[in-house]
Amino acid sequence: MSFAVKYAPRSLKEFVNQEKAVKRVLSFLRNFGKERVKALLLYGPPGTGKTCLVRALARDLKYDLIELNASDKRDAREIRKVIGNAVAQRSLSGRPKLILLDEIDGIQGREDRGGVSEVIKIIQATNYPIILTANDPYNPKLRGLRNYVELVEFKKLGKRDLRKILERICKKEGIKFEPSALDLIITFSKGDARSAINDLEMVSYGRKVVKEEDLLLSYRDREKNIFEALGMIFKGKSLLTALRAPENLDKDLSELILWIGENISREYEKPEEIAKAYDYLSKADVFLGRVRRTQYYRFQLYASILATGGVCIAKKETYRKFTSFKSPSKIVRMWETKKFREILRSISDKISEKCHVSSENAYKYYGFMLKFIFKNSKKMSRLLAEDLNLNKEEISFLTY
Amino acid sequence: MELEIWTEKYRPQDFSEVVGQDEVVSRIKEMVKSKNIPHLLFAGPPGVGKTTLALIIAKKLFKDKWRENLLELNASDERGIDTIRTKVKDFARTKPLGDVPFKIILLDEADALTRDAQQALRRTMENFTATARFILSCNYSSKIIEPIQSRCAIFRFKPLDEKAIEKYIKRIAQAENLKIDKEALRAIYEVSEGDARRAVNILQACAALSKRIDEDVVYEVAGFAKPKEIKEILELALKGKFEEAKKKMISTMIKYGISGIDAVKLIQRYVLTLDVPDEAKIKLIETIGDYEFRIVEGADEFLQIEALLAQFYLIGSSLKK
Repeated sequence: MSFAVKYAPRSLKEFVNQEKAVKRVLSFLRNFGKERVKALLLYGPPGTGKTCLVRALARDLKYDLIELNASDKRDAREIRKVIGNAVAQRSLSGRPKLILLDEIDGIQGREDRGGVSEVIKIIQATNYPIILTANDPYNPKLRGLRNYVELVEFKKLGKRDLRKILERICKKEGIKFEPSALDLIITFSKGDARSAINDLEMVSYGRKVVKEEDLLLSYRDREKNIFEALGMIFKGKSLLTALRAPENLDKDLSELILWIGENISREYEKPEEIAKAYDYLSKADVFLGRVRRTQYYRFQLYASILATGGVCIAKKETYRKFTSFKSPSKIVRMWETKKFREILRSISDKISEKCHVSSENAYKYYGFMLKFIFKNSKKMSRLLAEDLNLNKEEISFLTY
Repeated sequence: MELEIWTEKYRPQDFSEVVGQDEVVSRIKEMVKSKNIPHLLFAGPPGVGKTTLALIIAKKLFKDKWRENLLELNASDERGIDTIRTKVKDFARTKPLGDVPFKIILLDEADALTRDAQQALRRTMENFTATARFILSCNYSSKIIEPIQSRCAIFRFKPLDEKAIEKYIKRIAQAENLKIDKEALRAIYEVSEGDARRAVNILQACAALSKRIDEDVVYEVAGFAKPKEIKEILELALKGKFEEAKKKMISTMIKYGISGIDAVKLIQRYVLTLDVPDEAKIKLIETIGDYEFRIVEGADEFLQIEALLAQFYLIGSSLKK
C-alpha cells in the first residue's frame, strides 16, 4: 500500500489546517434537511484533503459512502444508474447515505454527455447529502452547477502542516531524514500533501537515511518554479543544492538574481550574512554586465554560481523558520521590465539626437531637469515635449 | 522650430561665446585660421566644452556646409568598432565640399572603446588621414591607448571656474527674461561643480518654478538633483534598519530619476558628513569606491546600490559592539 493511502487521515483528529472547511461540512451533514443547501462543492488545490475529509467523515459519522470518481464513466446514464438509484432508495443497512462526486471538474464535455445536468437533477431530487469536489470551481463547465451548490474552500497546506504530516510518517516508518531534505520536499510540494508524501516514499526506498543530495537526483528533471529555486538557495545546506537552483527554472538568471535580492533580508537575519549574500549577488551581477558587454558567455557561469552558491553559503546555518518568499517589489520590476526600459531608451535616444550626447549618458545628464520641469511647469513641459517629439508614454514616464 | 532645451539653444556658436578654457580656445583658433588641423584628442570631465569646440571647429572650417562635412559618432552608442569603421569608410570615401581638403569625424566618448577596438580605430585613422581628421573626446586620456595619443594633438579641458559659469548663466538668464541674484548664481556654480551643461540644466529647471531665481529656488532644484533623503537612508542602514533603508532608496531613486552612478556619488559625498568614527568613514569610502566600480561593470544598478546598503548595515552593526 502506498504511503499516501496508508497514511491518509483516518479520522477528523488527524486533519490538518482546514478547520473552517471541516466545520462547515460537519454542520452541513448535521443540519441536512433543515437547510436549503443540498450539496457542497469542496474546492482547492490538489492534495489538500478534500476527498480524504469526506471519507474520514463517512467513517467517523457512520455513513454509507457512495462514490463516483474520475476513473468511472460519468455520462448522464451512468450517473443516473449509480447515484440516481442511491438517492432514491433507502440503504439496506439502515445507515444514512452520503454521496461523493469526486473531481467534478473532470467530467468530460464529449464523453460524459449530459453529466453535469444530470448531477443538477439529482441534487434537486436528493434526500441524502451530496458532496462534490473540484480544483477549480470557476471552470466554465460548472457554471450551471454553481447555483445548486455551496462552495467550501480548502486552503493550500502550510509548510508547518506538511512538516507535521511528513514527520509522523517518518516516525512510523522508521525513516531517518536530514531536516534540510524534509525542507526540500516541502518546498517542492507547493502545499500538496499527497505529492509530498509520494516524494517522501519514492526517495526513502532502500535508504535508511535520506540526505539532501538524494532528493536532488529525483527532482532533477522536474520543472521548477521560482519558489522552489529560492528554497534550494536559501534553505539548501550544501553548495550543490544551491547550484542546481537555475536548472529547469522557468526564469532566466537575471530575473532569478532579482528574486534572490528581494528575499535575502527576509530569510537571513544577521548583518554579516545579509552583507555577504549581497556581496556575492553584486559580484554575480558584475559578471552578467561583462557578458552583456563582451558577449563572452562563460562569464554567465560565474554569475550563476556566485548568485546561487554564494548566497547559499552566506548563512551560518539554515534558518528553521517559514519564510514566505516575495516577488521583487513592483516598482523595481517595473523598472526592470522591458516596457519601462524601452521608454527610457527611447527618451534617451531623443535627447541624444538633439543634444550631442550619447544615448547611454543622455538621461544621466538631462533626466533630473526634465523630471523637475514635467513635475512643476505645464507650459515648459509642453514645449519640451514638442521639441523632443515625445509621445504620450514618454510624457507620463517623465511626469510620474 | 525653436530649440527648447537650453543647453542646445545657447550652445556657443563661435569662439567668442565660449566661456573658460582660454588657453585651449586660443590655440584651436590659430589652427582653424590655418585651415589645417591634426587629429585632436579632447580630454576632460563632462560639460566643459569638448563637443562644443569640436562643433565650432567644423562650423568655422566648413561654414554653411559644416553638416555635410562632419560625422558625429558616439562610441558608447555604436555597436562595436565594425560599425564605426563602416560609417567612417562611407563618410570619408568622398571628397569634402569646399576649400578644406578633409572632412571631420567627431568620435565622442572614445574611452568607451575597448583596447582592441582602439587598435582597430588606430588603423582606420591611418587609412583615412588624407581625407579625414578625427576629433576624439574622452573623460580620461589615460584610457586611450598610446599609439592613438601619439597621433593626436591632446587638449586637456578643466572644470569651468566660477566666473565662466556665471558669465554663461547670466547670458541665458537675460535672454530668457529671468531675474537671478548673486547668491543664486553662486549656488548654481557650487551645485554644477564646473559642469556648464549641468549649470544650464539647473537654471532651466529653476525657471519652471519662477522667473525670479534666488538661492532657495536653486537649492530646491539641487535638492531634486541631490535629494537629502539619501543621507537619511544611509543613517537608517547604519542603525540596523536595512529593510526600510532599501525600500526608501529605491523609491527615492525612482522618484528623482537618479541613476546608480548618481546615487553612489551622492552616497560618497554624504558619508563624510555622517556621525560615525573616522575609521568607519574610511572603511565606508573604500567600500563605496568598490561598488562604484561594480556599477560601472555590472548590469543592475538597483541591485548594486542595495548591496552597498547591506555593507553600510554590516559596518553599522560592528560600530554598536
